[in-house]
Amino acid sequence: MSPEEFNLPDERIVPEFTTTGHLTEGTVGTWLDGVFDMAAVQQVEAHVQACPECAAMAAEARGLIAASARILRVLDTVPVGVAPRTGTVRAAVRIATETHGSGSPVSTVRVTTAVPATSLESGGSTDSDRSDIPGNDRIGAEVKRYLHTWWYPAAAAAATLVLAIGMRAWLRAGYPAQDSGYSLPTAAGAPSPSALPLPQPGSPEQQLSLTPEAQSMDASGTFTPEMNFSAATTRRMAAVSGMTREQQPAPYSSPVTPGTVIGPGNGEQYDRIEDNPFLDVTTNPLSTFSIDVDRASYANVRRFLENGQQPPADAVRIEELINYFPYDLPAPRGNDPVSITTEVAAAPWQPSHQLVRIALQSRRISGTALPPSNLVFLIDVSGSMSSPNKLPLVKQALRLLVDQLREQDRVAVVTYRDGTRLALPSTSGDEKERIVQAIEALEAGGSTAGSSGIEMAYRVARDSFVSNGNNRVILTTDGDFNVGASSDGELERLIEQKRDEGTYLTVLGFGTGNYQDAKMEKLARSGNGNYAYVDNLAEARKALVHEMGATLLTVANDTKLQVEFNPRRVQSYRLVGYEDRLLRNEDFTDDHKDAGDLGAGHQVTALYELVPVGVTGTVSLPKVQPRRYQQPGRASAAAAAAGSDELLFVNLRYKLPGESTSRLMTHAVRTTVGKGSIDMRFISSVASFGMLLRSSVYKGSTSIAQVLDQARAALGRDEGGYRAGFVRLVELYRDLDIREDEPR
Amino acid sequence: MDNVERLFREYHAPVVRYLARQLGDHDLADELAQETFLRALRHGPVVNERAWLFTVATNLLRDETRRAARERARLTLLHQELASDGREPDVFRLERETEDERASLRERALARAAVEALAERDRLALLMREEGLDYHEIAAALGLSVASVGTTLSRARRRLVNVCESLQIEANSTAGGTDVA
Repeated sequence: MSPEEFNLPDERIVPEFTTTGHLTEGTVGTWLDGVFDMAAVQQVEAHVQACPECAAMAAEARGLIAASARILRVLDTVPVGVAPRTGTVRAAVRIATETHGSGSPVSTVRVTTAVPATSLESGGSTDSDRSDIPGNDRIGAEVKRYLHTWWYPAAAAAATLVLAIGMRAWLRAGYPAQDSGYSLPTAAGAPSPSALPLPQPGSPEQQLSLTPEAQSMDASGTFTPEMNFSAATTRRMAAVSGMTREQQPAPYSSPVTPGTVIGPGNGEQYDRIEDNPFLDVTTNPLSTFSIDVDRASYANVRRFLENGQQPPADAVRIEELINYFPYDLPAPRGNDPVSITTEVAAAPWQPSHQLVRIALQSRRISGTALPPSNLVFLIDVSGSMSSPNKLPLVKQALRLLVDQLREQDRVAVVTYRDGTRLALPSTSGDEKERIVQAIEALEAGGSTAGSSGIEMAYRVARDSFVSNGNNRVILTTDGDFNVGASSDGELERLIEQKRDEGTYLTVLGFGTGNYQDAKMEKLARSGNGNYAYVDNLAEARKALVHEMGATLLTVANDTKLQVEFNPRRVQSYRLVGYEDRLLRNEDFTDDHKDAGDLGAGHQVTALYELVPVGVTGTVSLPKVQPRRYQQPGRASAAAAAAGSDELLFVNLRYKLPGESTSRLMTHAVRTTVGKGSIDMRFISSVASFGMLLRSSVYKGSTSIAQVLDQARAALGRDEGGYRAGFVRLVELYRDLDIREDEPR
Repeated sequence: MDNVERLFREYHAPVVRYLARQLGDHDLADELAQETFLRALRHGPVVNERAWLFTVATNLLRDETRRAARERARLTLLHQELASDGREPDVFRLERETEDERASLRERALARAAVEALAERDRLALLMREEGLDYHEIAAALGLSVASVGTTLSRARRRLVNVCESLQIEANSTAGGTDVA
């Protein structure tokens, strides 16, 4: 074959219809595979929207695509996301021996990559061909051969390796001490036993046995020890060895040195999330945090479950699950950019506790009234983006956005792989044809990203800067965002500098396997931007088009919430979610402290779980030495008068875009406990589900059955079918054989 | 980084996976992948490199399957043994196996049986698609018309899932419900 002879056909693919006027199955598949051009996509989408039969066929086809990918993945002999299993190492030795010894034909049985873990760890040498392996050195050669056959082809192998190393670190650090994980932090540093159902040392899930034989193998520095524990425990351990880059010192002593969390995918990274603990109101009357409008976690969790995998606990951000759904909230009044709505109800997982919902609704701006946008798309077109759920999906998503553009809007496209390319110079929104052609021409290939192209993207944005407009770089990536020579820190500084100059950054995550949640969220946060995970076209539509106003336009900057609890009414409280958004109390009034931004039409919900005064035995708080100079019981006269029937008081600070001084809004919450609106009941079911997924110690009496009952009874009008989708997702989880939440 | 090194870095893993999913034999897949890249090296720069590589790999694969049916026979042996009654092959009887491991071995045998139940062209098209090839590349590599790729893939996916499900049901009923996947 010579290059001249090897050309690809260039015929256009057109939608086909059956004689009865429906789409053919092949057409539906082609559409879902993202192969059609824009005209064809529009034709198919118009039909699917109008034709329930074809919509059903599309739903089925989506299922078939996911299911067949799952079946094929089973064939890849390195099990993805599964830790080295019992006896793996010995099985490897046994098989190797038998193959050599008896000439048995079963030499094709492959072994997971537990074997080379130590060789990597011991100074990067891959010299596993050591003659001091117990047994014989032929086995060593065999092992080496395995290593060679495995090393290149299986990216997943690397994940398994790191997991194995993480486990070794865990072993080295010793068995996690009794008091190390779950008790509340105290000033005195002496945690008291908690009344919560904590895993007891010696319970089966934490038991780990080292056989003498395995230990000796370990001592030879060649094999990981044989370990007996469930897959659930390995996952937990992977989570325990959490990635803690830039994480403030945890209030708990961690049983392991920081490592990297390996999700069930391969190479996906998540920052560790530690549930916020209950805090005593007398010592901590204020709770301060930055709002967070991201909801990428929901789509990400859905991807895991649809693939039949348990999402890693650190991928489950409860506030993002809750904020995924639209709620019925009043519009802001007067000149306020945001409204505050609150509600109190019993916590379904612990009926003696109360649940307080604080909901924000920002002003909606209709699409036509939006100020002009100057968008620069920065698109990864390296080889890793070629799979159907990456670049093809990006292209479809962009096509959807193009329809929304107006004459005053501008779009540019910068691509990067081994080099950076201006695929579309800044172009007015009325030149749709030109924009579409540039999008169509995008193709993945070439080596992994050598340059990020972010400087060029910012340069293009600056050259076409629209004052009073929405200037934004939109990064689409699968997480393999290579910044070249500069560090992540430098990148963040660049993004912050550009933010201060008025160009924001939005990050859209695509694809699986190499997905780096923590990094992407951090980048978006530095750039005053949003961050969304896009796993299908509907999600793309939600992120880009349906919510163009919200995703792209900010109405309130640096939005912070501070809640003050009334010690006469509340003993202790816990903020559900927002673990990585906590602020120091003094940051609330410090206008130099950056916080989250509210886009037009955004909704944000925060949940507090309260232990009312008089309830005992559900939570045990550490005893605090009584203070000599401050008497916690004594409130000011004003507070005594005003606060008698108040449960808590909400302070909200925000800056209007372009202003540097913050404004304050306040809202008092009365003690009245209601049955809970439909939204409130739905929210509490989502929170329950999140706690189950995270195996949270605070999940109380909740169960999948309870989540389902509650969610089904709280569907409401469900515009867009999001809540029905949630019910289906919970049912999927219930039917998967991956749950850890049931009693053992 | 020279061209072949770049090609290798980028496409070696997908090509090996593509071949291994076909063959059920990783060593053989590795050998054929080696041969594929060797040919790329001899050949020099190509346009449409990914489609070119997968075409070469597919040709090698077809030659190999025709010539060496026995290579597959030994795997068939293994999977039949596994699928027949959930009984593990001899080599594993010596091991204390967890339920997990047995289930995963059986799952793999089922998946393999399902993949082998596909017509060759459907199977190749689906596996290429899974490695991210677009319809035009698949059409070129398999000598199909571009318009028929969508139909081919839909058919392959449906059949794969159906066969796998029915095998699963069959396996569960013969296992008498004791060995639940």
